[in-house]
Amino acid sequence: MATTVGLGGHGGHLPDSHADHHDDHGVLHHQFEDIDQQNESYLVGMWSFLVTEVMFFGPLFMMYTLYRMHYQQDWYLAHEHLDVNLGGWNTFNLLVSSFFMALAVRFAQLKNRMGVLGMLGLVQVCAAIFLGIKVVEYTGKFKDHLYPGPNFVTDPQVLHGANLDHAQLFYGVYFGMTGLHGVHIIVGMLLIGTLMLFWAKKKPFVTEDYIPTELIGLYWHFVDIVWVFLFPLFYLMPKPNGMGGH
Amino acid sequence: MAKGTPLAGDHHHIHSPWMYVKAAAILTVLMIVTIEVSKHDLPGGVVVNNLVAVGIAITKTVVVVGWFMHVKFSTALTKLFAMLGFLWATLLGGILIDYFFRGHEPVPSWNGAHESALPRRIGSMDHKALDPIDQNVQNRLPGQPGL
Repeated sequence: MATTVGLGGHGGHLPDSHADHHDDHGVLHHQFEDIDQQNESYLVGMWSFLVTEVMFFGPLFMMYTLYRMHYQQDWYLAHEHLDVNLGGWNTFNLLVSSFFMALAVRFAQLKNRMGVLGMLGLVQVCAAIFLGIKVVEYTGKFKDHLYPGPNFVTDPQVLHGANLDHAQLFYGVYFGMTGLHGVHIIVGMLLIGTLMLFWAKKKPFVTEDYIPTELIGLYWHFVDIVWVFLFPLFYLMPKPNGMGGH
Repeated sequence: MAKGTPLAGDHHHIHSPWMYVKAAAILTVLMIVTIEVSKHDLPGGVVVNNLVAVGIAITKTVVVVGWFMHVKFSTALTKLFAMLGFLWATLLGGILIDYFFRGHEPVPSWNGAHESALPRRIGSMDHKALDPIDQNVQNRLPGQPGL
């Protein structure tokens, strides 16, 4: 088995006496000892970025927790205008898109170009459906004057007697957090679109090494995880203790 | 080399697609359980409902991180980085210590500033407009005896 000593600085393929093993490890760069170390470095780098994303959303979830703790009843009443069916379908949608993404990474490991393109295309379809459902939800809220600002609804009976200041706070947090998540979906679609372009053009950067596809996959799964928390927290609020009527 | 076969001498194991199918099925079941449980008042009150909902979300996260994101099959270093972010998020919960103890402060505010938007006692502000200052400590100056 050839070693890496004396390879030179061009970062080319491992020289190997067995011709059928020639492309097994993709492009091993010269600063890494072996492909495992290279892959681990890339993965750890991507996870470092995802840690910053957790730090991005974390304080927003903290803000949600604080306000919900203090305004439990008003927030419960305000949340009743959210459509659980649409939220549920979006949850299933992202779950399925994560499944397609995982298969895309698997096809990338197998260097199956058409498989990768097919699966990534399905991920894009799921993402577009997600955004479509979000547009339906948001336009419904705008129509009902449930958007925080000077035009917020003024009749408390619309929100079943909830304090309108607290309800406006709820919708501010709702649009802020789901909107930020939606921005992440759009960014994900752009990233996956770029990846698809590279695969379509047979760029060795993606065809020789599955790791770029895996890294985009990690980002997409993270976006799914954020929604896994957003859905029950916003759409499935339990009724506060001692609250009658609804 | 035929498509669909693991590459010879490959260092990373290529998983069967059925592994991803099973993970997706588990996630779907958990999603349905979340929705169904939310429709019922569990014994123990709203706290139990909240714990179950967050617990199911955490379980779904573990499935996505472990199997879809391949962390279960990764090196120890990758696992460490993957856990770090979520560990940080739980530490963020320590901020709640501040808010839980605000009701125990002896003075309305340390610098005489207007009461913050967040009331002193959890659940005290439902259906009320924002009160300027908690009645128990109103007009009390710094240095005077506390509550």
